[in-house]
Amino acid sequence: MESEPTQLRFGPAEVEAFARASGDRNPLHLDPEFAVDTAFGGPVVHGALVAMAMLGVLPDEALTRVQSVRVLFPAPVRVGERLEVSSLSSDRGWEVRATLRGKVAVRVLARAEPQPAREHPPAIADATAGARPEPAAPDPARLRPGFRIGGEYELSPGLATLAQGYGAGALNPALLAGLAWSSYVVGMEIPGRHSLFAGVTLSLGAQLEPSGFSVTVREHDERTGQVVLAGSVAACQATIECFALPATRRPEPAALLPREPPDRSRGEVLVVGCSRGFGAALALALLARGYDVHGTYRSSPRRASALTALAGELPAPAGRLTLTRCDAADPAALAALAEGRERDGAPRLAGLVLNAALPPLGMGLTADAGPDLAQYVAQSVSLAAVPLGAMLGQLDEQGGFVLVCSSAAVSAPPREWPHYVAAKAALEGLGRWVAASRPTLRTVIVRLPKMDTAMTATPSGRLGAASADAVAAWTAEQLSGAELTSPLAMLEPKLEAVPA
Amino acid sequence: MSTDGFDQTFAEVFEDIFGWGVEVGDDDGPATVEGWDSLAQIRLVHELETRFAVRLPDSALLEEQTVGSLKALVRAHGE
Repeated sequence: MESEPTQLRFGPAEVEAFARASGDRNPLHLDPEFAVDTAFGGPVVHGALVAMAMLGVLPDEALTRVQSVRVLFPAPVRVGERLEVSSLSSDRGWEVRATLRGKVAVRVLARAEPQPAREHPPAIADATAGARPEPAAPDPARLRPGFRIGGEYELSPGLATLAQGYGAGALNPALLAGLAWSSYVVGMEIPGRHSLFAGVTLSLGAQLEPSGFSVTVREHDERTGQVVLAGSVAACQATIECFALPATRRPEPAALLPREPPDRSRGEVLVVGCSRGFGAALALALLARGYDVHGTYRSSPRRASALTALAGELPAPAGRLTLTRCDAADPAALAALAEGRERDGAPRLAGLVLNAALPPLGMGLTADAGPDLAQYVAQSVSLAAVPLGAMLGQLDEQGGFVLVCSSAAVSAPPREWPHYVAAKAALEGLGRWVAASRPTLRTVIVRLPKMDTAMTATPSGRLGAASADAVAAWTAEQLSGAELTSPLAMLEPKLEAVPA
Repeated sequence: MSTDGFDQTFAEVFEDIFGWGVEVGDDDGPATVEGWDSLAQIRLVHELETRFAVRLPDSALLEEQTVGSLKALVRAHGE
């Protein structure tokens, strides 16, 4: 029997309340600047909170019968996103699904019978844990099969209040505790700081750990970071599936140096979207070749100051770095930037790098997701069209360049990124227009390969990814050399993948 | 493992990853199975490796697969 769909949405206050109630204070949920520097591009709602609210759509007489719950998190739910929730009951139990962006984001399977527990491996190392205020830093020893932690897990009264608020108050408190606790384990203990919660199976059992918890690493796959944990808290047994994610890499100045000595007469390049990933590496590679760089960034002041420090490590005579915090899609901000350049007698504008982009989350193209796709494309195009409109008049006719950062995804579209492929193809169209209307400029469209940046800090992202430093150094060589002539060049660097 | 046992284990793994009631044929893949994305494929490969005690090549994780191609990979890398 299928229910009428309902909607759910989680704002910062709900996320903070769950963080307090569960103890899962991972910065992916609470620190926007940390979250923007991940593949998710912004704060993510605790999966366990979504699952708890989804269980709340089931009638109380069903909830009181639930003995085991399996929750799967196929896609992240960002703070503020709206989910469609529907439920289905069958002879096996109750299934609740939450969809967004044309995909099932969370699936909850609840049954009136307990699940058979999986065997625990023998413990090889013990550590105490519980109520940790900061998430554990990445540590390979904590991912080794057999690694075991145990401790106290205080269940806060706030959790029961939250559950009641979502209509899930009739769920067995041990299952509720297990849900919150598994979020705490993944986000704070194993893997901790850089983690992704993929799923959990909870089942009521004997009171194994009357006043606390224990959890043991059962499997760890080094190719993808997948970790399987087995444990128990209060009267609840749990099997947790999660991923240890790669930390974001900093650019390496030594990998970005030019073949020829730097030339300080090249002028200035405006790099739009320069604080992280490819943009940061390219800014450094241009500085190393003698260009002055004026970079803009929107959301990562910590990354921006790290970039300033890295620029200081470049051998002299490197160019001068100026940074402006602004939203590249804000016309007033870009107009002010252009005016400021003219007023201050800034060096000649030798180039414009259009690199600002929105991290793509996987999408399924359904009729409902069509407007989401269109909005993503519009926002992506604004991040290039606004700076282009502001700066095109200042670009030097003698060898000035416009670099459009496209993606190899345009040549080989990934199934899950229809919005990304459409957005990058639109940027290429804009580049072709620049080449046709300003033929004395050098317009360069670069289809960037998969690189080891925040965008690919995902389970499969780093497999087959090239080094962002190597791609940036290669691109800067092309731009500073004499090979690229006007009006239009299409580049598709094929660089060797770095070992994951 | 008998053919029946092999197919049965495969079906269990698919149910584990994609939820109850999912029924797949050898030609099914990401285009036809709801939820079969890159993350699901990683979990699928991991679960198959665990259940069948095999180690599949990286291409199983990265390249587009079908149920049939995964069965062939498990058979080729088993025993």
